[in-house]
Amino acid sequence: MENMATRTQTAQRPNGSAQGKICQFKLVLLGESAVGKSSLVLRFVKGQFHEYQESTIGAAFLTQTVCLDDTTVKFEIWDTAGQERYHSLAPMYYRGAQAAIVVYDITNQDTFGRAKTWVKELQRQASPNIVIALAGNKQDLANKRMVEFEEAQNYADENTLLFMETSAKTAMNVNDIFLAIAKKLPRNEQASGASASGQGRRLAEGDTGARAAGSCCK
Amino acid sequence: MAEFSEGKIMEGFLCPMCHTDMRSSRTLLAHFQEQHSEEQDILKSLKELVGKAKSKILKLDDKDLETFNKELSLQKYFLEKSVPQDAGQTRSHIEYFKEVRRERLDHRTSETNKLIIRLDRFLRAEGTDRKQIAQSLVTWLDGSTVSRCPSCASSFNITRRQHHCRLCGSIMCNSCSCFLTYDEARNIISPMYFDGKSQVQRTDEETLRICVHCANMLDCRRSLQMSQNMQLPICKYYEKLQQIKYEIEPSLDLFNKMYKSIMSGDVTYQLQDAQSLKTAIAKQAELLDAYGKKIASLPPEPNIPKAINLHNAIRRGTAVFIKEHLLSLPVLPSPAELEHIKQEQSLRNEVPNTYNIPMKRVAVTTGWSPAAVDAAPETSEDPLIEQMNIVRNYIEQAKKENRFDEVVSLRENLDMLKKMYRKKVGANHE
Repeated sequence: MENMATRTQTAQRPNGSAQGKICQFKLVLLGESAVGKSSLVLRFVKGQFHEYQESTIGAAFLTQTVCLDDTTVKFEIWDTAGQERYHSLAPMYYRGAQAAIVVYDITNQDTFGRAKTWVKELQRQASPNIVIALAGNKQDLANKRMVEFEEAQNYADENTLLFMETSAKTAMNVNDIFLAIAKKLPRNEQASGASASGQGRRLAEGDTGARAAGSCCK
Repeated sequence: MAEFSEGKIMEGFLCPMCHTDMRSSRTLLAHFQEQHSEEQDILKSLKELVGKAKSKILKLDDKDLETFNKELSLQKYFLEKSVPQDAGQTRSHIEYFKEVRRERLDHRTSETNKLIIRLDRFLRAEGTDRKQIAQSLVTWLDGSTVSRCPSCASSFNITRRQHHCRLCGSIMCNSCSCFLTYDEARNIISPMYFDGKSQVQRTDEETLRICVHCANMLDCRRSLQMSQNMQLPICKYYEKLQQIKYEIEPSLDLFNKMYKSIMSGDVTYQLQDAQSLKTAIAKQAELLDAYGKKIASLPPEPNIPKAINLHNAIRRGTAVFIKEHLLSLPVLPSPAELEHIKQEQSLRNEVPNTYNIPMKRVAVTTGWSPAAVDAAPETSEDPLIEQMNIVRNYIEQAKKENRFDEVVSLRENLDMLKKMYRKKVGANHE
């Protein structure tokens, strides 16, 4: 049976150079408020950092594309608000997601506790194939550390999560964690086959035809 | 043919027997045959030597002539303009002209190179006594024999003093001196300095005194380099043209995808979105066409007769690109036609698609994020309603920037939020 999950396109540019596969994934950010979820995405999408990032209302939407060998991965990112008042929205975003980053603040033990709760919730309610990454943010404040690296690493290993300590301020491991997720995603999908994860969009059939025809230099 | 006599270096066409400079190979041979006829062996070897040198020079000459003829054929129109000659005795002066020109060019090149080598050494030299450094590089002319400035013929006295050119050691008065700043000098030595920081003036503005001739030669070289580095307007336009072509490609991919989706009765994309993307593409096409026309209307390059062909070829190429890629875009159906397509499709598609496809095929784009919605949150408002408003705002922003893949994702989300809201309201009413 054709594995629908891995069906991807190979677009033909007019100059004849073939492009690799392009896939799109929905990724959701979860975590206590003020741990740096928005800062992480802002760093990833725009390469910026704001010392006084405003707190997110509802869920913000961003997209970013990364290239892995011949595959282009487009992240459709939902950056949810950490405030209690918006928690009812979170399930709507993680349910359709293929990946999640659960963020905590390494200088605050409580946020790590909250992160564990999010992971549990994801394991129970989200798609079984969801790739979960744990990000210990604010690594630049390591001298005020309250959560030990080993503690988090052990927890991540037990739960088979990707784990990295990141810093949106210094950009440390920010791109890396997204790339690590991107690398894990297609393989993950392939292994488990097409499943209930996400409500897929119906594919528009082959994009390659119309443009390539009549091209003078194919 | 240099000979050592009493430790002095002589150069020129020297007689090997009596060391007199005969000035040319012909006179040297004549002199030798006349004065030193007893030395036949030497005469023979001398003749051979001259013959070898001659053949070598002639060979070079042929090559020179070839390139010269090429040059000449390129500049045909200069000759065509001259009045046609009447039949009769004609004589070619090309040989003579070539001779004169080569001598001059060789001389100029070697002189300029000498200056540059000296300048380079001067800049590299370490030490504080600049006068000493300058004198170590070139022997300064003895001032006692010069009573007048060679450039303006004014006599030197206590107020008009003698100055030496730092590059050739010649003498001139102050008003006939040119000054080369160190920055300029560095530019000449390494042309990389042409762009960037070198333009920043140094605080201690030091200069080199040089004569008019040296300044002139350095200037010639610099302007030649500048003209080689200068970007022609056609290059500028062509770069822009290529830039637009590059930018237009993802839009075309996206449009074709949207078109196919719409024509298959799919509701993923909306008709008016596709329409506005098409308008955006048309605008790009107009811009492309404008640049093509601009290039075609560039004035012909006086030195490059084929430039006009190039201009026209670019224009034609652009027109073909527009015709094949942009004008051939499929026509979108009218809303009525679309309705028809949808009905047909729904009849055919009675069986619902049971596949869930987590991966979507998309066009490549770079990172995008809408501006933050700055509506002050009212604590009384339902977060769901709040979020719906945020997403609606995002959709508007994405539409404006032709981010239709994002529009689709956001719409999907909005529909879900609406569904949730209806559920919630229903539950509350029960």
